[in-house]
Amino acid sequence: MSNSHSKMFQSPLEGNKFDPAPEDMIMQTTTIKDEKDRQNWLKNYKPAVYEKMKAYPEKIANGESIAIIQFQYDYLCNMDCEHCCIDKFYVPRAWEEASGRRKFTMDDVRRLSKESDEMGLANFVITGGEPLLLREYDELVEAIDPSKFYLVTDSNGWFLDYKRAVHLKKIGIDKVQLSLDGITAEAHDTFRRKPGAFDRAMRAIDACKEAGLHLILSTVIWKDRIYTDEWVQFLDFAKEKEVGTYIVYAKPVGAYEGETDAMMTEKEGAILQKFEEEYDIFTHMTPSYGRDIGCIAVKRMVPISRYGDVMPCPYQHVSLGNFFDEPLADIINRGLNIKWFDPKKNMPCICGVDKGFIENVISKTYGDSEVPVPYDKVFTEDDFLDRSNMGDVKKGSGTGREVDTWKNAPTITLKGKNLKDFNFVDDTGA
Amino acid sequence: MSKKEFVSNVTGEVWHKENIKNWKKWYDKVGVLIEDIHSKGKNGTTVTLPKGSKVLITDIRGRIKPQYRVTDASDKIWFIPIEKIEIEKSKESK
Repeated sequence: MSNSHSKMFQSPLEGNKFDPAPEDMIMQTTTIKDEKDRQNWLKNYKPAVYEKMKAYPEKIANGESIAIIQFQYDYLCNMDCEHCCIDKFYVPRAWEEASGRRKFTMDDVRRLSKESDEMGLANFVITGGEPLLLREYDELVEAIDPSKFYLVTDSNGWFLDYKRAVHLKKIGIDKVQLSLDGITAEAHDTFRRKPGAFDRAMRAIDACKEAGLHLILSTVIWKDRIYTDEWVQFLDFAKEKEVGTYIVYAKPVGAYEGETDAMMTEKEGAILQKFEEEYDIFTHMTPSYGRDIGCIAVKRMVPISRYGDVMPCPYQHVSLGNFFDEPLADIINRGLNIKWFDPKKNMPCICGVDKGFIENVISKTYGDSEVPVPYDKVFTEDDFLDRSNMGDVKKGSGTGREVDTWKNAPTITLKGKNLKDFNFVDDTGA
Repeated sequence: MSKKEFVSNVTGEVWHKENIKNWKKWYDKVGVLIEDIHSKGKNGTTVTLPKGSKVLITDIRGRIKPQYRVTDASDKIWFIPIEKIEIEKSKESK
């Protein structure tokens, strides 16, 4: 498997106040090449995270979630990207106050951190909006507690110069996932609808590398892009910079709602697979820990909105429950009890390819729907594994509809797997 | 001054930024539709709110494609692109 992270640990660790690396460790991280060294790095640098990740093979085998918390703390943003999938979640401040919406306070964040830690979860991604726009960013990081999580921040790079990159490392950020949607200023700035965005992103790449932050690029791919010279130039650029690239498939949700013609098809997916042989690129479906668990919704990723809604994935605007109303573990376990997110099944990217799921679930988040749509409005008794634990879904709500994708999906068999074939590197890229 | 337009290389859509600075004034205000609005109903049907209908603005969402959340005369909830509603300006709204 193409390993997009082979370079990302090759950076000095000085400057992190939570566990400053010893001199010999700093030297080691500049030459880390194999999995064992990477595990040692994490063991020395973030021992609590290491211990949690060590338990992941067992958790996967037991059908538990090892979700990354994708924390949508705020939707404020300085760009107007054309693919934005959470545009419908943004509410201007004045309206937010007028409507009396409950949103995360720092105490809530601390409770989220505590509950996530108690569930044995080891990854947080701060996303937005543009997180680095937030005045309370440092306070937010502190409330999450970097000593307990491998901590990633999404960014468009606009506010990320060398000084800020050093600061991010100092407060406990481990990695920056930087958006770059074109290898020319014209392409990127048009996509981001922000003149100057490309130049700022270039500055941010160098700043992160110089500051010793782990870095990956995040780029949106759509059907036509994969056939362009620009796409190859993009990949060559990433290769030259020695940074991995996370490929985000454009999906017909959010600002792209209904734009199905522009989306990737199986044909383009196969072409992309070829690129994986030559370049350090990966998608959300790339196996984590060397384990192919298929669709990561709920199992490996749970977005949490500014307003407390816990969702299956960033593209499924369905609320599995609200963190302000019930414990995180209860909500995640409810999700795992839905066939589409069955932790024992290797499902495909259901919101991308499963017509039944798109028709019965995703399409109900379109148009006039208030998002996220509550789970009991889209799932029925048919969708649940254990029908004695369906939350608000009513008994007798089923129509006899079969979940064929679930029925036909192969079972994940991870029993007997242990740490020796456990790949931390893949984990930090998801 | 005309608004800067961006043309998508992905969908061909032409887009310009809406000015959000006045949005906060329109909470609980009445608006009038400047064109017909269609919405998918149950069982594949289409429901139409005709041009000229008065609606009460109760909320807003989105920054890239902003929409007002409104209720019509029968209290049905709609999300309507802000450029398709003309606000009925009253003394209070100044």
